[in-house]
Amino acid sequence: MFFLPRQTLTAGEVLAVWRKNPLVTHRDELKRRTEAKKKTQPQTPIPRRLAPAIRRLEATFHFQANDDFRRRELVYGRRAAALFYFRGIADEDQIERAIIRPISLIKDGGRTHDPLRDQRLTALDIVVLETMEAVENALVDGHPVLLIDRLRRAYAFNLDDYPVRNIDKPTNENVLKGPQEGFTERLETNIALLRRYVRSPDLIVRRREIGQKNRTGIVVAYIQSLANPHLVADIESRLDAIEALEYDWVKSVEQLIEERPYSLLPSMLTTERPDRAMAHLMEGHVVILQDNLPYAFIAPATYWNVFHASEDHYQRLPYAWFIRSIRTIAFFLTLLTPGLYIAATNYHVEMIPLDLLMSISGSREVVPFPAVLEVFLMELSFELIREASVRIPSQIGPTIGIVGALILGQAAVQAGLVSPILVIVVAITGLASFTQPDLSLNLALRIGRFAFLVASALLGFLGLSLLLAVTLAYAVSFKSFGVGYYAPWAPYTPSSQDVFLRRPAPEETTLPQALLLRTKTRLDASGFFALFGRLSRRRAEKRTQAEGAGRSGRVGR
Amino acid sequence: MKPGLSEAALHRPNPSSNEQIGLRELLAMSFFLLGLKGTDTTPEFWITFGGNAAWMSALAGFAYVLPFLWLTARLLSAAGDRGIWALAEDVLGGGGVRLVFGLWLILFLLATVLNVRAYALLLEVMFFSKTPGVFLYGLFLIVAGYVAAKGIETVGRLASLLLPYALLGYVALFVGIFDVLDYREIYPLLGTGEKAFTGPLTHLALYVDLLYLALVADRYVGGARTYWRGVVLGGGLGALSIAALLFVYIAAFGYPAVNGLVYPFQQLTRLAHFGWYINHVEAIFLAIWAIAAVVHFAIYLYFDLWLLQVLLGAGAFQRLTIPLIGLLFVAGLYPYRSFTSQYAYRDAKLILLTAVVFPSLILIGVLYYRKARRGSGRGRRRV
Amino acid sequence: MCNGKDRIFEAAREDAESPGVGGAGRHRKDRGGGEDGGGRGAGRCRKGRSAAAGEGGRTGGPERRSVGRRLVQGLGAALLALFLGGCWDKVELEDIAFVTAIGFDRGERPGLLDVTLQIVNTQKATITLGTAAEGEPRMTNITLKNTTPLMTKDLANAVITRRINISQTQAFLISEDLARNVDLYSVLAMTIRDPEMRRETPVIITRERAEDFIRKNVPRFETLIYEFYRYKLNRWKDTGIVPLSSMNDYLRAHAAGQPYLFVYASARRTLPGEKGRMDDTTAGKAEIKGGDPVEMIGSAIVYRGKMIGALTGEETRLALLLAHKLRVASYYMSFRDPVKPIFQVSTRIKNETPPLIRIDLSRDPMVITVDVPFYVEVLSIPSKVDYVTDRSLQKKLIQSILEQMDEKTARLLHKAQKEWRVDLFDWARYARQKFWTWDAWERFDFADRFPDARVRVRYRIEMIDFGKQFNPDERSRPLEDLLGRRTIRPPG
Repeated sequence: MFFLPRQTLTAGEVLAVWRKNPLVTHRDELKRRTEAKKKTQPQTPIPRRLAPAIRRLEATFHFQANDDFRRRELVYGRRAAALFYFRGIADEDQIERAIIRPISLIKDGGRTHDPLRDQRLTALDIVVLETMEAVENALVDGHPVLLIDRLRRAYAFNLDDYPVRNIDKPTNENVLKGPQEGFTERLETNIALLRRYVRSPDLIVRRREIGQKNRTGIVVAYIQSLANPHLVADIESRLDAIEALEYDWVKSVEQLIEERPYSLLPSMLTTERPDRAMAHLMEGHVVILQDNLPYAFIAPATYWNVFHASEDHYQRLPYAWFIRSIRTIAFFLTLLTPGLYIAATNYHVEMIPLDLLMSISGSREVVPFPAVLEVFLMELSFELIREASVRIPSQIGPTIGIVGALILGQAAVQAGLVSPILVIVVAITGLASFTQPDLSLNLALRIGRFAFLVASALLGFLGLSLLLAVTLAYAVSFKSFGVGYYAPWAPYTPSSQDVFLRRPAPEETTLPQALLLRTKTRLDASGFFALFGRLSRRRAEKRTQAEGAGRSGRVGR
Repeated sequence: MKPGLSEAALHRPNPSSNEQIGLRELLAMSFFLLGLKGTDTTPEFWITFGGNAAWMSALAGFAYVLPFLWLTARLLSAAGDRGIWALAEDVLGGGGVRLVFGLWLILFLLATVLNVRAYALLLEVMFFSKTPGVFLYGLFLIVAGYVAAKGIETVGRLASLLLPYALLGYVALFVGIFDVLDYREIYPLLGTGEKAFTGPLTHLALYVDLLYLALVADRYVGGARTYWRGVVLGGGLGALSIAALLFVYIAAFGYPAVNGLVYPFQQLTRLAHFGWYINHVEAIFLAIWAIAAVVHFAIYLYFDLWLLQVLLGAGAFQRLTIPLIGLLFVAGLYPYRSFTSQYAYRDAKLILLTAVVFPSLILIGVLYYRKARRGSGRGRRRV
Repeated sequence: MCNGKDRIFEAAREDAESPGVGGAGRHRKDRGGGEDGGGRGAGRCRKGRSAAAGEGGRTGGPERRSVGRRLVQGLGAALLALFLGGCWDKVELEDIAFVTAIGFDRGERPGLLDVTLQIVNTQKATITLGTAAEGEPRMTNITLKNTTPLMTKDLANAVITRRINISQTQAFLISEDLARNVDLYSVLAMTIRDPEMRRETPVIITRERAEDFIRKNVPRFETLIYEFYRYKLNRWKDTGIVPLSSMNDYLRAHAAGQPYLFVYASARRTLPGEKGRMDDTTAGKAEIKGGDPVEMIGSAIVYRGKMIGALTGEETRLALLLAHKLRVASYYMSFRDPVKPIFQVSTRIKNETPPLIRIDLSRDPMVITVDVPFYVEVLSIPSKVDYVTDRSLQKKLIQSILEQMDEKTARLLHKAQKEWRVDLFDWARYARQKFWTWDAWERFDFADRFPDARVRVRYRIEMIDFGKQFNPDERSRPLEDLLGRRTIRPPG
């Protein structure tokens, strides 16, 4: 009884553990402090003479120790100048060709001291820097910086050349039909990908950085004419709050701005597919990209967003229905199969078909463990195989996975550790869990199934369904950025009913209003109703009438 | 900006995060409040009234309640956005309203205790013979309390999510027992005759839950109109499902024989089978039923909490949840000797509820309209 | 760098001690004060664990540890609640002995019963283990003398290791002796109170003691005995020579004061057979050799809790047909050949449209009219009379079939009205429709008036057909040598 609390906990205390993210709940306070800090932060102006500036930079960047930190001394016009850059991350070739060579070789009489007006450098993208902090940041970002004597300004050239990965196939979200490219680690590439999918002047891409010393680039993208400005402001304010926090490295911005860190349910959708990001942008969601992460976060994410796969819309309607139904079944199989097995064998033996019951009962006789332990052991070993196969070097991974699963299962049965039916139960659970497209939901289900296992071990089907009721109540009350997790189904709001199944593509015209978008339909209303004739028009008229009546009724009656 | 929502609309709270309840939620809640009564020990009442015409008694009872629902809807619309409480306060005064709704609360607490206990007893008898009923009772209270503490919009959404499944469950049950039925068992058509139609009059409280839904009418999206539609549609659906279940009980078990059954729904689910090999599926129906029961009692507990909060003038009602559950749990520890005593308790409770809630509603209505007439009469005289 | 983090947790502390959860904060402080040694030790242990479970080596401030501790405490409380509750009704599958059939016999002591439980050996069901359990019997029978049905479940544990579960019982077997002498209703009603008992379970009345029946019933093909009852029940659906009698239907009929037909079975197959009766016979008297050790044919009539008689297979079918309870798609019947009466014409009968039952209560005695439409398919005509093409002969055949049906019906009706004086055909259900209230119906007392009722059953042959072949095969040998070697069922 080592975990027995010394004093009885009140439920409030128990619940207090599952607190919300303080970064979100106290964001106004944090923002205020950030701004105050910004105001008091010293801004070092660039010294007038070159020498102290160089000294300072060399000290900051540990010039003696850092081999890749380069200083090129030049003469610019008639003044001394110094060009700094990091070797690997700036395009050295370009620096040589476009900056150093023109400046030192082509003489223009030495009258110019301003690179911005210099004829030789007009082809370059030049940014003027005013403070030493800005210079340092530009250098870290891979921009070569030119310091000129007797000039209180520095010039950064946009010639960064970070090594990056090429655009590749998405590794986790595979589709059979649909685009086959995924985000990469480079923020600019990802933005470019988004731009390629969303050819609209309305796409706003707002870039910001988190952290003062070690900065992480964050991009917030949304469609101006669609996204609810309050939603955008909400997300921006959450990002504002963490702007000044000095994390060593923002591992994942998702975890800093979500509301409930302890919740099993993901409040943001993670996707590595630009097409999926686009699809959500077009429904008024906000896409958040983070530097060095090859995926995008989409907020808000409802259960439906998380549950759907991008393939659902690329496939034709009946096929899409089929795969969604399969996935819905798989959802419940993942969550409930072990629990159902335990509930049926330990509490409701009468419900198993007699032949099956006899065979399970017969095979259970030689098994030494109670059924719960048996299931638990097998599920645990399945999770082991699964986790191992992710970590194992990719050459042997699949082999180990299959071998582990096959041999372990077979051996466990032959050794009389588990009954054969249980291998099927675990296999079905495992297989079903792989059908969930979203990694977060997948993990949530896998963890959740143990809770259902325990519940059904305690009270059979009753425990199972009571836990299901509690889970559902929690999920229904869960909110992602203020949007109900089951919207637009519960609460029901106008949408294209892209929930359990979806409607034919031509009819998917209503945008989900749960996000309270600026626009209601995808198509021009007159065009749509002209196409679909009287029936739709009548329905639309009825709706407008009803809306009118509802409005007046509210005031009148 | 493209044509669409106005700036003002954009500044409204988000429809999915506000705490309002739409028609679907209300309909679903009304259904779960009423429809579930066909599946517990309540059919006993209707069968006592109507004999083999119990299904007609159930429908008749609902028909008798309709005028009261209409009156409530009228009062609600008169009260505007403030709800029935504010209106009652206008006509009864602060003390009066506390007295009336205090009585409502006490009786509803009584109903909560007796009904949850009856469910626990049912589970104990039919499925979990070795599990103490008190444990099941406490568990049900805790689970329903958790859901209730999440607020009425959560309960409503949960209900609206589950409604299709519940209806599917009914359909599956009817398909499953179709070949057991002998519809001729419901003849003679009128059963006990007059008593089938007069009996429900004393037990109108079987449908009283629908009136309690009026307490939070200020949360409904369309106000009184939504209330009326939701309660009539949802309650009607519930009453229909009760009638259908009673019909099926009698057709499946035979009329005089059904008198001997304490838990006809659970017995019925045992009879359900789909083909020759898919039989013995009562555990699946148990699961569906238990979820529905959680929703049912979550609404009960929510109204208990709501009334308690308003009467005590407490802040957040969530904080009352744990004390209330504790109180109800202790109150539910009354000794029960038999199903008949349980039945007698519930009988008394129903008559009390009928005798308090409906007259008080009429009282509020009469007082309100008298006041309104006096007001308008004065106005006319002035003109 | 630590600044930001500290600030966050300051904020967290503010949150924790805000008025909303003020109680929690206070509790924590109290606990920090006086506590006994054991508690402190436990607390330290917990602290260590939470730190380890936390962020690896990077320990946070004191507040972080507190959150972790609370987490562990909360989880501990939740787990405790979980483990303290539940599991009462849990039972491991291998710990259950499944009863496939229960037999009831009259006990030596009045009011008590002998209950026989047939328990199946589940290990025989698995392919891999079936061979391992070779030495074990496939089932075992336990008879408990002088007991009550509900007592047996616990009492049987005196001789068996496992928990008895009767939820999978495939059949109740009741001996004729018990059914004739003891109130059957009270026996079954006693049984039904057990929550494991299922109302749809078939009930069979056995000619001998149920105990003997169960012991002798070792089917030839079915290793697992439950399959025997299941397959048997499946076949009954096709033949109609036994009623599909279930507990629920019996209770329903009993409460309505109606007689009920149970399956009639016997394991005593050595009784002298009734010659040439085919399916017009009762269990134990059929002329069949070989097969399983038990015979199920015909039905036992139970009225007001007592068995009052038995119907043969054919009568059973007829009674069910007239009651509109025959759930059989088609069945075989043979009729006397009107031209050559020593031969039988084999037919398949279909009742596609149900019988029309009309009751005229206005007359005294009441008049019950039943119209039975028929579809006859003549399958074999061993006499080689040309019924197929000759229309006048056809008419004669139809006439003869109708006459024979009338004859059989009249015999059955006479038994029902005069011998047993019960409404064997459940026509009360149709009479009930004529009444508005239950009181009026009770006052009418149908059961009392039925024996005097005038019953008219009119058969109507809707269609007659001659099966797969148009003409009797001219080249086949004359069938006179088949005389006296009639098979039980005419070749279809």
